[in-house]
Amino acid sequence: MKNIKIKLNNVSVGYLTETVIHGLSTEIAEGEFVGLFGPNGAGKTTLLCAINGLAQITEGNLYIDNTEFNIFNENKFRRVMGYVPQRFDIDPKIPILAEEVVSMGRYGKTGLLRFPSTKDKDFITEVCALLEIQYLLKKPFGQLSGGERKRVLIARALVKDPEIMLFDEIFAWLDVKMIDRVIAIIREIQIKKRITTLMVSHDIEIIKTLCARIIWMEDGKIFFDGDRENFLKKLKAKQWN
Amino acid sequence: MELIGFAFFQRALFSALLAGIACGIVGVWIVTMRISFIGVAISHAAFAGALLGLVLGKSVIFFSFLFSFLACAVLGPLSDKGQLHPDTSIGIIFSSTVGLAFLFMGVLPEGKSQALNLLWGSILTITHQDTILLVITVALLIIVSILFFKELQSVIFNREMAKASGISATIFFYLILFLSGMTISTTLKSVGGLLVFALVINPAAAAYQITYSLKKMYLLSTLFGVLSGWGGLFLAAQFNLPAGASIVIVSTVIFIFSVLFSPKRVNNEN
Repeated sequence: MKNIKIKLNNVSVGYLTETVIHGLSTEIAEGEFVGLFGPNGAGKTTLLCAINGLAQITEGNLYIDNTEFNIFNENKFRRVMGYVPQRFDIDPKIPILAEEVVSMGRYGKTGLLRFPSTKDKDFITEVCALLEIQYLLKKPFGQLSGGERKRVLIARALVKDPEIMLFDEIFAWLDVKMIDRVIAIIREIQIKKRITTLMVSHDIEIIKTLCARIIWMEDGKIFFDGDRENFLKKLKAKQWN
Repeated sequence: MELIGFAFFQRALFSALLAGIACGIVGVWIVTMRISFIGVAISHAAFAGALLGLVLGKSVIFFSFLFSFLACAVLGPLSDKGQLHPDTSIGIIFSSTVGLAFLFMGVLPEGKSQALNLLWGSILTITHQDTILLVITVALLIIVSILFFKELQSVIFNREMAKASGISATIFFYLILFLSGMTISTTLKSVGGLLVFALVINPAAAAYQITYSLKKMYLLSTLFGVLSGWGGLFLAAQFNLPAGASIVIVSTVIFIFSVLFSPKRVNNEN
């Protein structure tokens, strides 16, 4: 029997007066790679943010490793969750280098009043080599292109050595060669370390390639939840209609 | 230059050094996080509080602390939840704190000179107790900046992403606000309620134009803060000008030069 890594029980999520996700329930097993698919405004990004606590759950419960996620244990769970946001706007003059942005991913794990150890630094170097971003490390983060920033943020998420990965449109801004490279890296790490992964993408080809299970969201609810083959059938049926 | 021999001038130089360091550090946080509207509101609240202290005949610094902390307590949650639009809120908070300040000034039982000292600053009349408070503030700021460098850097980079990394970003954001309030309250007397904010913003904004390294920005910002303080004091002594205003003018000149010779400007133009 598979361990349940993430469980959402009748979860609603909203911002100010608007509810974006309505009573959503699902379970994601340890090591599963789930694609989140759906039109704009379906609530995919909000769902990722609800899982790492950046969006407030207004009703229902979220469980990680069978423990309810709340304000008292949120940092403990966030330290094992890698998150790459869809959009990331920043002042081009910000006095922070790309290597510092990557290292920040590990700061939560390093803990208060401690500085990254040699082991931490070695691991960071390893991840940077994997993503071929060594040549970017000494550059100011704000001066990088959209694709370069995305790769730095993916490295930032991976240096945590996460148990859960939350990817939001990570392939946007990347060129074709880099998309193939990142797909290969994610696949390798995900299989080797059994990282539970949720990935938002509009790209059906990428979803088909990477995700064994697909959750299709519409209007803040689950429209379809199933395997790759049934997803493609559903997609075809929807297009014909 | 013969003024250097006088104890009051030496104390003023020491206070300018401390105020420059304190405002330089706080300025780094305020400039990089783009929360200058909060800083303006805190400095005016501190000024209003100091005047209430004068009206009540109680400790000026205590009431200045109290008001600046209250401003943090109101502005912090609004900003943290993203519900604060700077254009509107700054208008309301700025005008209400200035209104309160002038109200307290109006009901002051005795002469207005003490109130005017708080408005323009009087670094040459700084007391031993004021200097001790400044030393404590500077020590606290340096300790926090070093011990929590990586957490503050994460919060400066992006608060949401810092939270997602498992850092208590909200706690560090409030720490920044309260230390800003403390700095403004303790430097109020030397630089003045209307001018203290310029000493917070200008040196840090100048440093921001020059470097892409946060560590260097801390160093440059404090250096520019101290240079502004000392330069202003010598200008004031030489030409018989108000010290607080001279300090701010020097900091503005430093900022203008940093913009003119900014390597970042060249980068962005390319």
